[in-house]
Amino acid sequence: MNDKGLTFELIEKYFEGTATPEEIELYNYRFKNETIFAQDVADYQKLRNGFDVFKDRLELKSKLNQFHAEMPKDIISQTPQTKIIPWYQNWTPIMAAASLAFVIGTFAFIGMKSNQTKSHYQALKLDLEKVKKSQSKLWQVVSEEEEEKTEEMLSGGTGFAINNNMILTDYHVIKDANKIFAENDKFGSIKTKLIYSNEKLDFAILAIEDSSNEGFGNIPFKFETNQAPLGQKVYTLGYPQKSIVYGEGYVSSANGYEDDTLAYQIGIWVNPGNSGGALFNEQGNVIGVITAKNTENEGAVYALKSKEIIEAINKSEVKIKLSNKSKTNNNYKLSKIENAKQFVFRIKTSR
Amino acid sequence: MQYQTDQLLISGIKNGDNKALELLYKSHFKPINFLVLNNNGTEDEAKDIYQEAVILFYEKIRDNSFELTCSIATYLYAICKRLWLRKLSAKSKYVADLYENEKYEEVELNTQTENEIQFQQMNTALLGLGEPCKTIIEDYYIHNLSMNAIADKFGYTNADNAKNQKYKCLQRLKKLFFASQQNQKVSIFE
Repeated sequence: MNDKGLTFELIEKYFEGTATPEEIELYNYRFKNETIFAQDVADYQKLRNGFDVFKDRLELKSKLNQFHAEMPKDIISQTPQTKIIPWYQNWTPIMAAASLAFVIGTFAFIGMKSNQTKSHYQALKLDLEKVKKSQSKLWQVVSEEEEEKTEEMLSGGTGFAINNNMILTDYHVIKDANKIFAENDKFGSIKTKLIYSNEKLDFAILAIEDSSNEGFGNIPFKFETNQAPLGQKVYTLGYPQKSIVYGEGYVSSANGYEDDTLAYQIGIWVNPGNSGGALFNEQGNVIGVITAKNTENEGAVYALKSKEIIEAINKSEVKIKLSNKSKTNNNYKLSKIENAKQFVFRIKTSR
Repeated sequence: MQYQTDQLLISGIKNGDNKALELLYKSHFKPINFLVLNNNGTEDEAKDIYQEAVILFYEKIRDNSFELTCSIATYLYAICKRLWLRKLSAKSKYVADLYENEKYEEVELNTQTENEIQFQQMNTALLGLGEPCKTIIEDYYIHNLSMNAIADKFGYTNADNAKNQKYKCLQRLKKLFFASQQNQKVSIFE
């Protein structure tokens, strides 16, 4: 540590009460005789005070949230404002294909326009070629079989089940892909086909290609279309690497990149490959889908709001029945994550 | 009667009594929820606005910075109404009806406390910090983890290395924190 570092350590020790008598003497001497030192002390106190305020505020907020949750339901919902998610009985592949062409055509223009301003906006697709190169030293033992597989891969991301046979991911994850596979520990590797894509909002829906596949069964989460409150705790499950990764954060702004109202800004740490991952709230429901992060600001990640997804799906001609699973009684978060994990997939594409 | 209960609640909150805070929170939400739901708002927005008002009220009580001149219910309602109007006009769904019957004029409605400013400042600074700095700083200064625990968590070989890293992170945070303080000041003067 340099001089400045030592000065800092002295100040910190003094305020944390771990300074020795000699150090206290040194502190007092320097405080009296060095203006820069006194300024450092003042700054340190301001920062510590800032931390205290921040901490108190978080604690207060979580207390209030708890009180809120304990209030009787009839106080919270005086006039029912529940949004009804249409429950379509069927969809036909032909209709899907027909409308898909239309949808892609329509959004190509809009997409081009909005992309121009996104200079600090980085989509979180995992470019497998790049990763392979940068990590080649770390993966010393790669079996030949695996080597062959990665060579033909185009990109990777994350996706999650939205009903018995469909998976939602980001559009940019599957863009330009010919073959799309979804895989996880529970269901293995599943070949899927694109049935709906929305370039403007950057999401896409894949369906299991093999009709003999029994599907995913009951999904333990649903879309939460109400606006998530500022500061709400959120978590995500994704595949920035070969095994699934859990990440925790909070809603840091109601709006996304350059005040984009379609997305939230989330304070969370994610990596390329997290794209397409569901963002769960504390109830375990999906409030959005991770799409991008700010390259200038490490802590700012953007997630497309569930409300926008539902609205886009409803407007589209593709009939998609969404999982509407009611809340599970299980309140223990850990098992909720383990449960949700089974319906999160690593998306792999190739040309 | 109402007045007496209010005074009891306030002194309870002043003394850090959780029960008092709970009672305060749970007894005043209903009219505010009604206000927001009937003016283009959602349940979540009602909750946000209400919590913002309760936090403001709480912090003002805690630092003895004001005397309540009306009932708590009236005060919270007035604050919420002001906050909600502001939010509505931001959403440009401005509703004229809300301005009618403006009978809470005399209530002091300064909604930005020193704490609020500091909280936002720290929040912005932490968000701008990036990883692993953000977590290291939060672990040490907010969650009170020891340097040894942090070294373990992040795989540093010893606490000194972790300490060094923490020092660098704090220097960066300091810059961000004081930079946003400048911004805050500018925006207040504007």
